Amino acid sequence: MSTLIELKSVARHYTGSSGTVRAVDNVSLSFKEGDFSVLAGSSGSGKTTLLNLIGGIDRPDIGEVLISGISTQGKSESELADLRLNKIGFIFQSYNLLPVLTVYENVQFILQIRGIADRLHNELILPVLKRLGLIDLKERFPSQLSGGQQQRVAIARAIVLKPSIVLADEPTANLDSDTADSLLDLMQSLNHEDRVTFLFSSHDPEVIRRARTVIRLRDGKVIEIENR
Amino acid sequence: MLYFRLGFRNLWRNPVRSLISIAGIAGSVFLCCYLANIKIANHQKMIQNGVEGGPGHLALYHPDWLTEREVDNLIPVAEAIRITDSLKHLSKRTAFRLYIPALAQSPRNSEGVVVMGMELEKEILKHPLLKKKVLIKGTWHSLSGKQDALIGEALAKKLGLDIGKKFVLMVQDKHNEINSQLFRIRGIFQTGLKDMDNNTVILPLNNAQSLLRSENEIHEASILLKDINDLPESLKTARSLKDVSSVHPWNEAIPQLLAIISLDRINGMVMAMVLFLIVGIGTVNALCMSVMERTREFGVMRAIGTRQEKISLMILMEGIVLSLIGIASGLFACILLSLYTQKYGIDLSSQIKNIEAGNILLEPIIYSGWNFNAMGWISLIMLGLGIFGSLYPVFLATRVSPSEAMR
Ligand SMILES: Nc1ncnc2c1ncn2[C@@H]1O[C@H](COP(=O)(O)OP(=O)(O)OP(=O)(O)O)[C@@H](O)[C@H]1O
Ligand SMILES: [Mg+2]
Repeated sequence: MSTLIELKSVARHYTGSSGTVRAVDNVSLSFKEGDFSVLAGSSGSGKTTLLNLIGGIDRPDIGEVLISGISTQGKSESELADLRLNKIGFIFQSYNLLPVLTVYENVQFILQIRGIADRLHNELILPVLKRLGLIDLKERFPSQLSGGQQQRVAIARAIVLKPSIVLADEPTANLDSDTADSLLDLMQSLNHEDRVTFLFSSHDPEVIRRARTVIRLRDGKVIEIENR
Repeated sequence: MLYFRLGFRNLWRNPVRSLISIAGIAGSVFLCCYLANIKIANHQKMIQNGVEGGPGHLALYHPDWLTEREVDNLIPVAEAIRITDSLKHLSKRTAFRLYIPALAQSPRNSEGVVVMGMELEKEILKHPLLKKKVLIKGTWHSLSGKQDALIGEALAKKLGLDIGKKFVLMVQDKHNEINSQLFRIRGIFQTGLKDMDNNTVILPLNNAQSLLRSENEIHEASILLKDINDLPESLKTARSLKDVSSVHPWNEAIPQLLAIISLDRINGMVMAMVLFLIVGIGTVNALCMSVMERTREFGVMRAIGTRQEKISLMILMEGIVLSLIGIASGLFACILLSLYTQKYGIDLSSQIKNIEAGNILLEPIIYSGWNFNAMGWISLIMLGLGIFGSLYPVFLATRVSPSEAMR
């Protein structure tokens, strides 16, 4: 199976008043199509930083990140934005959605910035909303949704353009365990049936239990990779 | 369209703040445009009065008259007639006038005055000093007697005179001799202009000429055209026919009045600038606040692949939408009120007795006209300000790095 993302000896340091923090320290990893992996580790272990590097939101100080074989090194901000738009879906812990847009419009937003003609929007968006059980909520604004529903909209937006990989930073952290379970069920079935590739960061044992690959981090270093 | 919609909806997230900004923009657009409409009507009125009571659209004077109003700076009536006759087909009226400094004496008092010699039969009810409501006592009609005179109301009081009473005018005549003649008050006028009411005596032109002992000369030949567009042609004709006199268009003959008007316009502009500056700062502030509250959103947008330029465009749109709504409401209010004051005017007579500007009386009822030019410019400047005011918020938003915003 083809490699989607590759990290070669990547490091990211932050220098503050209390010295240098090695948020990500010499990490080499690769992710393949169909993966369902999780970056696990305690708070401050570097999960978010690593995820940002993988998604091209941030750039490494040392090493190289390849997204679909394309290095993020030397890319301009706009080129990186285009790369993210075309290759990667993002789900964040919370406040994922634009509050002034409805569910439908939030998903549509990504089609619009991609420049997809308006007449194609319905046929791209409606099946995804249906698949995620959001079709009846499509006229609602985010403030009128529960946390779990909001996360489902974020998933819809993340997958509507069929990205190579969906990165989700602690997607269940703000949900109660039942809602988190059904969200994970949904993502698992998207992974199985629709072949969506997922990479999570989490310290939620339930997420870690369900992942097929667990990458354990401590102090910015990969200390263990467990394939199941 | 997406950015327009986003901009529009984002403005309604904090409706109070947006409405305050919009009210500021609308209020200043309204105020500036409405004042511009009132000013233009007043300026036109001032110019009209100045032109009618003075040079008309073009006038003949002694070459030195406009710089030095010496009583000796006369022009021959014959030349004035020759030129005005040749412009007869273009002119609405012509008027010959004299302006003579004199001493008016009554048994009780004496006062320095200006004697205006006018062709009363032509100027009655037309010259701004001889309008209907100005005459408060006596008659305007058939004033051709050798002793007939009209006199300002305050002057009459100072001299202790009334209708029918006699007084003496003493002048230095054309031959530098003292000449005194006896006149009888036939009419008293009250213009509201201090200068005029305190020290003006109006005589039929013939009487003024004989007082000056200069039967065939005048100071001013004023020509009012039927159509102002004929001015260049009329000037050309007049200049080709002139001999000793010099021909001036109206704007050369009333420079003080024009200076007052342009000063007034500059005043208006300065006021507008100050207002715009304040409103502009308010707009920038509102946009900055709304941008800073939304750093997380911008972070999400950028993370999912929105280019920086598009986010900038979105914020710019917010500024534009804000300005457009404000400008449109301001213009709307201005047009409504202008329509009203165009028709009914605002009566300021209870507040202000007499408003003078450059020896021209302003009406106590203010009407408005249409200064479309100013309205257009004010709207454009305001829109420009809205766009300019968005630049700093745009800059603030570009400094949001997506990874920082996502923490
Ligand atoms: N912008 C920054 N400036 C300074 N230090 C930073 C910055 N971002 C992250 N760090 C540091 O880098 C380390 C890794 O942070 P990161 O947010 O990646 O951890 P995490 O595993 O996602 O933690 P959590 O589970 O709490 O989200 C931490 O020590 C953090 O303090
Ligand atoms: Mg984190």
